Amino acid sequence: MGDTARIEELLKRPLYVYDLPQELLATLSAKTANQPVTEQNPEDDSKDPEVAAQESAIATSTQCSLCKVSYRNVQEQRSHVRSDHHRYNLKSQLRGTAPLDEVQFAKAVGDLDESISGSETSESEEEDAETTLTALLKKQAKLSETKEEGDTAVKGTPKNPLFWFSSSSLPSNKSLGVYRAIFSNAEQDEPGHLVDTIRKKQLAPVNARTNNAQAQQKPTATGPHIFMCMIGGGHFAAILVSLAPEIHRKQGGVEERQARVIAHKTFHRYTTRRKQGGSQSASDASRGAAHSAGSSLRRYNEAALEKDIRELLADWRQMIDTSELLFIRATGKTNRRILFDKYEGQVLKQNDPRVRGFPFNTRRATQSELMRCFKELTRVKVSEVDEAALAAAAAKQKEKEEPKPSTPRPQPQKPKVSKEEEAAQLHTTQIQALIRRSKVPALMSYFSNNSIPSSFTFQPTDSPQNFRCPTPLHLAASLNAPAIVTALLTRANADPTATNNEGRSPFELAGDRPTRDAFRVARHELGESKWDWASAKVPSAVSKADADTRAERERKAAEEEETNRRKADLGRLKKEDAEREAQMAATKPGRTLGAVEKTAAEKRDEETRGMTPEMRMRLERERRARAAEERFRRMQGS
Amino acid sequence: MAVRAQFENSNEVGVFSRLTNSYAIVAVGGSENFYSVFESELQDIIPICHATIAGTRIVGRLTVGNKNGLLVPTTTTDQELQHLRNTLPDSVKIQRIEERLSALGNVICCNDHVAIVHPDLERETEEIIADVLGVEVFRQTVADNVLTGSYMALSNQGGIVHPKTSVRDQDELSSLLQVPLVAGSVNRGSAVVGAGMVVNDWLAITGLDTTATELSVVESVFRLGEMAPGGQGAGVNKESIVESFY
Amino acid sequence: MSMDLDAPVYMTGMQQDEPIIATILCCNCGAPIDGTTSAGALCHDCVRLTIDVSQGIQREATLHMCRDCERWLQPPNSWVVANLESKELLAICLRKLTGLNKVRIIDASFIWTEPHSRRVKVKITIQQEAFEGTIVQQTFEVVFVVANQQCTDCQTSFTHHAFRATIQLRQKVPHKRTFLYLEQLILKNGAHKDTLNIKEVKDGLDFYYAHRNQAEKMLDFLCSVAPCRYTKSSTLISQDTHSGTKSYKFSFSVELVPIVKDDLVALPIKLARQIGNISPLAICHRVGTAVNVMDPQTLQTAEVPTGTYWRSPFRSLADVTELKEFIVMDIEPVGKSNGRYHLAEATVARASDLGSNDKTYFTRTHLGAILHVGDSVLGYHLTDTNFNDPNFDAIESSNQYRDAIPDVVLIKKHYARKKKPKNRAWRLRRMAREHEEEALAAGSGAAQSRKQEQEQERLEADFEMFLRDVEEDQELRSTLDLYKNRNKVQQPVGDEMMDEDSDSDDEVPKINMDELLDDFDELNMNDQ
Repeated sequence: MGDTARIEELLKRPLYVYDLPQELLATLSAKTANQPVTEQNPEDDSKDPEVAAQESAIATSTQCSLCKVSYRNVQEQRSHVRSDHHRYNLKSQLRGTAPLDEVQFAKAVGDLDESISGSETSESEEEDAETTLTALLKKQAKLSETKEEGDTAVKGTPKNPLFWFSSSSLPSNKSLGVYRAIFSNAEQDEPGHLVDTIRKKQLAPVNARTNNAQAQQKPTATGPHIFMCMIGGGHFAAILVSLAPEIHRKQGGVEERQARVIAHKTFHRYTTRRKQGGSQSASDASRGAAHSAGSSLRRYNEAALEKDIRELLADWRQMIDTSELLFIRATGKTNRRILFDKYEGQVLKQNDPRVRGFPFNTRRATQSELMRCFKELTRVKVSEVDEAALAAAAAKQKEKEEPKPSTPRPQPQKPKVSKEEEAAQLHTTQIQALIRRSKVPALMSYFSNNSIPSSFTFQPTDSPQNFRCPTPLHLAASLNAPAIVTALLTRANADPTATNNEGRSPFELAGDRPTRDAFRVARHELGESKWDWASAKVPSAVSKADADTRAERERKAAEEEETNRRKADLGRLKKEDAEREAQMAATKPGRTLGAVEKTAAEKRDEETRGMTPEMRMRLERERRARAAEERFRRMQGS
Repeated sequence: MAVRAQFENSNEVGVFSRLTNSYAIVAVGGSENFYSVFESELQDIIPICHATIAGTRIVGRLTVGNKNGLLVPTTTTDQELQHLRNTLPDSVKIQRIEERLSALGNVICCNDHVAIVHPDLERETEEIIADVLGVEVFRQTVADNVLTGSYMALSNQGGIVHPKTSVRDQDELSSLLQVPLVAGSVNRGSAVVGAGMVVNDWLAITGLDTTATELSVVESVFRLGEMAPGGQGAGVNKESIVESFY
Repeated sequence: MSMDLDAPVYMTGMQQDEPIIATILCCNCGAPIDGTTSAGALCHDCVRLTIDVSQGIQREATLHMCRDCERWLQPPNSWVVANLESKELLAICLRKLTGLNKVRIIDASFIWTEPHSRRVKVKITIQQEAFEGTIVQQTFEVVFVVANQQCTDCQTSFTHHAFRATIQLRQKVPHKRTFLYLEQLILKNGAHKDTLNIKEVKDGLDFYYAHRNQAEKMLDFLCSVAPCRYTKSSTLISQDTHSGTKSYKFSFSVELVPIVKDDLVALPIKLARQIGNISPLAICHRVGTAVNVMDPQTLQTAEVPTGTYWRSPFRSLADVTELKEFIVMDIEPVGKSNGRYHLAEATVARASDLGSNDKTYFTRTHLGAILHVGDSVLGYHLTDTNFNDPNFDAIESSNQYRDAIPDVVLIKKHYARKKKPKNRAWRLRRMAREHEEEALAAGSGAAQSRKQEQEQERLEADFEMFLRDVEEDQELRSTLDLYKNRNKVQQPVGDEMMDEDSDSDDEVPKINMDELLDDFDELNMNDQ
């Protein structure tokens, strides 16, 4: 049991695929192939034959013929019919265009995200699904003419992007997910040996080298690494990441694993047509070359971007060739052409088995996005299925299936709720919304206005979210909102010792340092006697000032590190420049002074620049007259 | 029970009337023949309302309702709305809705639990339908046709869809609605089943041209033989049988 | 209506690859059918039984045929030749049926019937859309009854005196040259198109027409090409006392001015003064819509309009039959000219006098341009002639003009020709005319009277003279259509050299081949 607790503890930290804890690795076992873990009611299929016989008139369709989506029961069907995907397909069918299957639709929406969001900031969370749908429909309507049919063959049910594993040392309801894409093709084909593969993949973390040493070296291959790049809308970002994590020792002796970036580069060129969208070359191809200033600019930039990218790839050739995997996102013909088109010194090949796309939606091509993707790819997903919830769902299912003869078809009845429960539910939604948006004053005033007790718990208690975060403090901690945590603890008098149904205190849900600090600061401010901090699992108190100074210190250290690195880089650059010049000097003994000597014609051009045609003519005449005089003189002389 | 009727020489019964489990609306006509059919079948069971909507007689196409409520288009006048409120039971919620597709009867098809609506219906309307009629709303097409209300007749017991609906589509719809569905026609081969008939849980009224075959299909799918108003099924029938012996 | 033929053929769902999945019941008979492919919820049999797409098409009709020329009436009023069971007859039959234009005709064919049954049977296959996406094909037969009706052409050919209007064109002269000229004009302008018949009578021609307006059209044409006057008369044929409608037969009597080209005229002195104080003794040098006269002594010309002429009519003093041949002894141009005429002073002698006496005559002539010493020329010998004309008497008695009467008036150059040149390179078209006399002659066979023989000769002489005029007068020629003579016998080259007469023919004016037209009617004849 203690072992289990330890592993549970481990799960709280983000797990890195290539550096899994030994005890977890030892007990890892693959789940049955492709079985979705979120499956709620496996026993659903075994429908009572009696019931089936009685309701033979009511067909049980298990597939939406329009969307090529299958489902298990009416609930799933109904939710599917309500989904954007189905509605999109319905409308596209009426319009006479081909419906999309699930993967295509997800991709289409993803593309939309990318092209819609002009700004770096991600879409607001409250964005209505309706607007996405309409935007997609509009976009489809524009594209439908030019779009060629059959870009992807109709796929069956899509492969699950994740491989699921379970561990004997974990509770049975927990399972670990690893992205399929990080396995090589051969490894994917043998699902039986996945665990062994993972074990083989483990890498020892590398200590961070000194900054100087790193700076002097060109990026070189040291151990397994992967290459990732994204291109789209004039943005390009590429990164080479070593799979072996790097351990940074921060001040205070805290070890932190970080991804070691071997090299990275981002470009941006203005290539997409403002407001119309699409690349200039695509526009040229479809309706002839435009002759505006902007279009020529974009055309030039497209070419420049291509050149830049190819040069970079050539630069990194060695590293890319030794990469384990190549994650590439390049949607659209032009983008793919830049990377995969045949050109001299081609680096990336389309048929390279290492090449794969990102198995999730990605945003604009930036370095931070690439880092996010790397983390997402290499993090082990922890999924937990709540037995109780499962049982409840199953029971509900059963109840629904209970036939009531010769009466109107029973509809899912909402359970009767009391007045108080209704009010509590209302409060729940309000408070949750406020916490999500980090509205501290609004939250405080809501608490005081509605005189909500400090021990308020979210209703209904059995929903999966409230199961994990039953109190506002839990929710705030899990969302990593230090301001809310502080406010709740100090002003709303929230109980940090309250545990969720998994028996965890709010502190344990806190995901990052500031949030954890917020708890410690609160412990300091409220005093030791206020709560049983030990049972709340909050570590020793720190004062606000201490925390701040520590943060400041860390920031400074980071800054110093940065300046050091920069200095070193500058020095290196200078040195390189000097070297290059020396080399130049060595190879070219001729003129090195000043600019290249101009030809006579160029000089003349320079003289006449800015003159009116008449003046230019006069100048020319004078010049000729002088030449003629000169000739005469010479003839006489000779 | 299924009966045939005609509204002033027109077979499109569903155009001129609306029938639900808790009320019926009949257009104001020149003669009372049509009304009398309803009266003879429904008198003392549910209220029958003589009404116009927006001054027209096509009440069946402009309104949609079930036992919980009634939706009327924005063109309905205040007097008409007031008249409806006065006539229909208090438990029936009546709401006038702003919707571009104002022929609600054509674009919405519902029973007491679910509604199938035109895919282009506004989101607000969808919510109003769900609230007022107390149904789950799904956007779907019937035989690739958006006018679900025209091409589908639905009760809590069953439903008839456009004759050209494929078996797969029928299965999907049936599974979605959780009622048995069949494809069929009314009024001697007319595909507009929604507009050609009205139906509730114990009564169906179709056009006078409806053939015996069509009527038998209607009776079987809506289970009209076994049902009777107010759940007093077989008893009434038995009594009448006994009476007829004398 | 025979049901076996009328049964429509159901088109959709002919081939079924997969077994039919019944989704609906046929609304008519209750048979289970596949709703997705069925037509309006009906099964094939019910569609076949209940739908008749040939409803609006009649099954019986009447065809009209003319028994004499075996032509068929194509409504409204044209008659076409068509054999039984021919494409043309099928077209007429299909056009006869109303309601057929609303459906699509797939096939149509005749069913054989005995010709004496006077019935034509046609089997027609049509298609029409019965419901959305359902096309019903149906075959049926239509019976046509053949009725007799005489066509208009046969009607007229079987009726005597069918004309309603006639033009009687007359010129009171002993020759026919004017009519020959008119004939050519009519042919050129196609003015004879509507005529029912043209008959040659003494002193003129009769034209017959079916309608008055056709006759009036002809009348207008005549007035526009020749100096003439006409009177109109009508005979009542029938009258409907109830409606007041009457039908008349019209005749137009047209008289041409009896003066032709090359006639010597003595104008009334008063008229001569009116029309430009011309010398009253003049020659007619041209006849257009008016009579054009010229004084050969001075080349003065004048025009006598038709109206003026008929107010004070005069007759020709001498015509071409009275021309005498002279030989030019001496000629000297005076220098005056008027158009193609050049005034000259000539000394001529009678050709018959040559060798017998030395009598010569001095005269002025308008033919200065074409006459040379030694040429022979035709002219009127005034001193030798005794005229019986009041106008001429007036001239002789007038102080002013008495002295100006010349001895000889020269009219035209005389070319020595063979009696009848057979081989002209050109020819004129002739109109088909009915000669009453000839018709009679044909009936009586060889017993041709002497009078008719003379008549024939005179006609031929007139025609020859007309042809010579055409040859000599370019102005005249330009108003006519001349055709190449394809029947001309090609003379061998050597032959011409040996022929003695050919020398004299050299001078004879020839018509340039460029002026001639190809006769296409004749071409067709040759093709056959």
